[in-house]
Formats: sequence, C-alpha cells, structure tokens
Amino acid sequence: MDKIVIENLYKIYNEDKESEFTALKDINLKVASNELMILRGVSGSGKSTLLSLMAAFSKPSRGKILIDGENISKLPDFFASEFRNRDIGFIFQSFNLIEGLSLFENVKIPLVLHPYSTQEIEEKVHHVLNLANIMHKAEQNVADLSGGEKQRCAIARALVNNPSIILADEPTANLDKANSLKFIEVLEKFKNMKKCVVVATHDTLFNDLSFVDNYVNISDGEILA
Amino acid sequence: MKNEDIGIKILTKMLMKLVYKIYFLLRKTLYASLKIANKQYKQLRSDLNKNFVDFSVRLLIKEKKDYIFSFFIFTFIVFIITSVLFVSNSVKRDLLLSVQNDGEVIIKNSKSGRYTSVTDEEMDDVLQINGVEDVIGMVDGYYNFTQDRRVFHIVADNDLNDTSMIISDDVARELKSFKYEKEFNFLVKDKAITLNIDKILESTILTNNTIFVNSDNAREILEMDEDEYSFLNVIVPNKDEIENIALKIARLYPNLIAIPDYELKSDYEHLYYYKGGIFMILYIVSLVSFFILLKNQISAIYGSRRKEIAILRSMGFSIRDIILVKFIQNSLVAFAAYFAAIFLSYLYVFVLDAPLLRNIFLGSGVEDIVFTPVVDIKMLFLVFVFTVVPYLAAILIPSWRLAIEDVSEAMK
Repeated sequence: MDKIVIENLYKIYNEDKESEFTALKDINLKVASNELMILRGVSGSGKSTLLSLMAAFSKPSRGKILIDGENISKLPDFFASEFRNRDIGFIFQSFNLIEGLSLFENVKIPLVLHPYSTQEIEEKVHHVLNLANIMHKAEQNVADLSGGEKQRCAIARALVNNPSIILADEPTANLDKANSLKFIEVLEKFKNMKKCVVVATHDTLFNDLSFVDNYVNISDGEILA
Repeated sequence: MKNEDIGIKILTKMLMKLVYKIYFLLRKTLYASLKIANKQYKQLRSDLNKNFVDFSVRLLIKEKKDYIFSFFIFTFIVFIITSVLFVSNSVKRDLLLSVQNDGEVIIKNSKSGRYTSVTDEEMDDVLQINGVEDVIGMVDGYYNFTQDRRVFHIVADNDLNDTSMIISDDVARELKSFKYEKEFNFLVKDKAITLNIDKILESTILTNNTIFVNSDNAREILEMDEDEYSFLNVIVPNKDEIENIALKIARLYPNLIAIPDYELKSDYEHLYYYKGGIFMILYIVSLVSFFILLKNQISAIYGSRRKEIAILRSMGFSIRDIILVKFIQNSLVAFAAYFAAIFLSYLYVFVLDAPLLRNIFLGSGVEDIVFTPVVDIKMLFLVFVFTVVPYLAAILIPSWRLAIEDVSEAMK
C-alpha cells in the first residue's frame, strides 16, 4: 500500500513577483509503506524542498500530498503539527539539536506534547538511545558531542515517537566517511523496522545500496524519468 | 533528586493551575474555530500536561542568564513605581484622615495677607448662620526651638493637665540631644513654661514635629489671648450647604478665609504634584528600563531563540504550543518579579521607612518617620496592567510572528 502519494506538486516562491522562483514542478511520486527511497540530486535541485513539503513544514503552491490517503498539504497548523508529531521523524543535515539541553532532553522533545508518565518517557527515550547506540552520552550537553554523536542523537529523536515515516535531509553532509557509513547501517535498521524512509542526498556513498528499494533523481525541481 | 529538578517541580505546580485555565479557554476557542470532521484528526492531542510545562520551565532555566536579567530589571521597575505609590498613598491617607477629623469648613483669619487668630466674636457670628450646627475653636501654632533652628508644631489638647505634654518620637530625640529627657522649658516673653514629657508618640506624617499641650499652655506658648483661636472648625451636617455657608462667612467677614473640607482634601490629593519633576524622573527611569528589558527580550526571540522555535515546530509543536511555552516562561518571570518587587517595596517603605525616597517626599529634616501601611489593591492592579501585560504582549507577539513562519525557512 502507498504510504505517501504526491500528485502534481508545485512549490513556487515569491509567486507573481519579479523574484518568482519555481522550486518544484509537477512532482508525481509514490512511496510504499515500508519502502526506502533515495532522492538524489545536486544542491538546489529541490530535494530538500520536497522533503519539507512531505513533513508539512510548508505548504505547496499547487498539488496534493496524501499520507495514508489524507491530504496533508492544506491542513491548518494545529493538525499539521499533530501530523508532524505523530507520523514524521525528521533527520536534518545540521542535526538541529537544542544546545544547552542534554541529549536525553533533546530526544524527549516530541514526547512532551503527550501526557506520558516520567517512567514511560524514560523507557521510550532509553529504547531509542540504545537503538542509536548513544545511551552512554544521555546526560551530556549536546553542545559537547561530536558530529557523529549529534547525528545519532538526531536519529534517536526522529524515532522516539515511533513515526511511520522517516525523512532525512542530507544526513551525511556534516559527517566524516566512517560516521556516514554508520548512518547507512542505521538506514538498513529503519528498513528492517518496516518504516517508510525517504533520504535526500547527493552523497555517492548512497549509490547502489542493496537494501534501497528505489532511487529517484531530481533536477531543477523536476523528477527525472 | 537534583536541586534543579526540585525547583522545576515547585515552579511547575505553581503554574499548572493558571496555565490550565488559560489553556482550556484557548482550546475551547480553537476547537470552535476548527470544526474539521476528519476521523483521523478528530483525536486531538491530549490536554496540556505536566511534561509540557516541565519542558517550558527547563528551556527557561537553559536561558537563565537572560531571564535573570529580565527578572532584575522588571523587579527594579515595579519596585520604583510601587515604592513611590506606597509612600504617596500613605502620606495622603494620613493627611486625609486629619481632614476627616476637622469640620466641614475651616475658618482662618487673615490680615495684610497673613494668617492671624480668630476671635470669640467671629465664632459667635458664624454660629448664628443657618445650617451651622457647631463651631469649635482650635488652638495650634509653631514654636521656634532656637537652639537647633527647628520649629515644633504646638497643638492644644484639653485632655492634658497644665504640667504635662505629649511629644512625638522625632521631637523626643531632638530634645534629648539637648539633654531635655523628662521635661522641657518653653521660652516665652519674660518667662519659661516647664512641662513634663508625659508620653512619646510614634512619629507619623502628622505628628513628626508635634507637641500636644493643654490649651491654656498652648495659648501662653503661642502668645494668644483667651478669646483667640488659630482657626475654627465649622460643623455643617448638610453636605450640600457647605459651599453656601463658606460663601456666607466670606460675605460676613471679608478677612475670614473659609475653606470647605473638599478643597483641603483636593489639595492633599495633589500634594506631590509640585514635585512632579522628581517623580517624572523616577517614572522615566522606569520607562527606559522597561524598554531596555523589552528590547533585550525581543532581540533574544528574534536571535538565538528563532531557530529554537523552528526546531520545536518541526517536532510537532503548533503555533499555539509555541505561544504557550513563551507564555509559561515569561509569565513565570513577570509574576515572580512583580510579587518580589511588591514585597520588597513594602519592606522598603513600611519597615525601613523609605530611606532616600522619604527625603524626596518630606524633606531632609524629617527623620525616623513611620509610614502608615496602606496597600491600595486597585493601584497594584494598575501597576500590573501597565507592566506585566505589556511585557507579556511584547514577548508573545514576536513569538507568534516567528511561530507562523515557514518552518523550513526559519531553519536556514
């Protein structure tokens, strides 16, 4: 069954102005429930924009994004936020952790919107910290972590609400090769967890991975055949 | 458990009730405005919970340097404003109380533009005016204590015998410094009147330089004749007649000055108007501090906290949740600062008797004065409205503007 269906999607910035810029043109795409898709393209090709639309970070100019058959592209803020919290785990290129908080506190952020008990929160956070192999740094301030550790923290945070969709935007852009390879191992774990995963990257390390279901190339805002 | 955690728990408990009430109101409005009959999204996120408040407070503690700065500036502003208002309200109250004890019309005599005494004859004539129930002659005046160039206010009190007097704490201290500990000699023409100190009163605005003596002694000290009075208190039962009676007295004796009590009260209400410049400076200092505070907070929101808001939005915080986080954090700071400032200004004015500020209000000659504690809830509410409300608005509006930004744009 298709988890994500994108139909005739456009994203145009500064529409009807001199500086109008079309970031995405007539995108049509389907991602199955437990599919791992790699979205490939050079910088500025529109892959990050596509990911941010899938995560309901912004609204498309035209077209639809259906998640489990529901159109999320025009949801009011409250419901879009609800959707992000429940269904999306997003891994950012620059990790986007809140400095000054510990790794544990960063990972639990998506949970604070729910009335879980302290014990439930601890269990969920510890579970994903173990999955991401970063449990030993739980109490450390994220500002003091290395790039690879921050990445693992971001992965744990993306998983903590057990979302059905994982989106990763240039996840290895700030990592050395060893940590990038570790991330690829994690991707395989996601696949085994039956998650729907979309990774936007231009890193050649992702080419020809046996467990990847689909490679989609994007250029100048259009999907290449 | 860490101290920090205990702190968070206590703060959380305090805020939960208030936040719940405001949240339910917000949620009710939100539900009413978003009637989307979609099965999948019908199951809205459950109520605001302890974890959310905990987390908001944790973010506040993370930025403690900024918030401590805000707390101190806010406390300083409210402290200055409430201290000034506490002092002026206390002084006004005492003065207005003194007017309440007087008659509805006060009569003074004037000659060549200066006050002189009123006589028995004038008193009898005023008593004949229709609407006047009684006229009470009062004896008071000023005695020049030449040793220290101070002036004592002599007030006649017929409950005292002719050998004793009651003095204020302030006067007692003054006399003691000249070795007058049990009695004092009033020097009048050709003789000295020796009176024993019967009792020492706490110095208030009204009594700080006052000496109460028997009316015969008062007349002797003030060199007044037996048929003379300093002023008359006219008792008028019908309030509507006060102005008419004052006019009649002025027609009867053009030299007499008849002052209705409401004019005196009005004078006291505006007692410190002439010192408006000093208060204006205090208020300007408060205002400038307030703007520094707001600028600091708004810059922080548009600066470092902009990305933080975007991160929270990406994790599923709605615009409402962001505003709620900011509301919890800043209302904690504002409420804590507001109540701390009121507590401190109460201590400063009514326990420490407002050093420095006392001199601005009452002059530098007054020492050890006791301000009667007066807490005007309406005044405190006004201070709240003009400090806490604009502060919260100045924080929440930019927070809302950032929260409605496109998340992916704000991340860049």
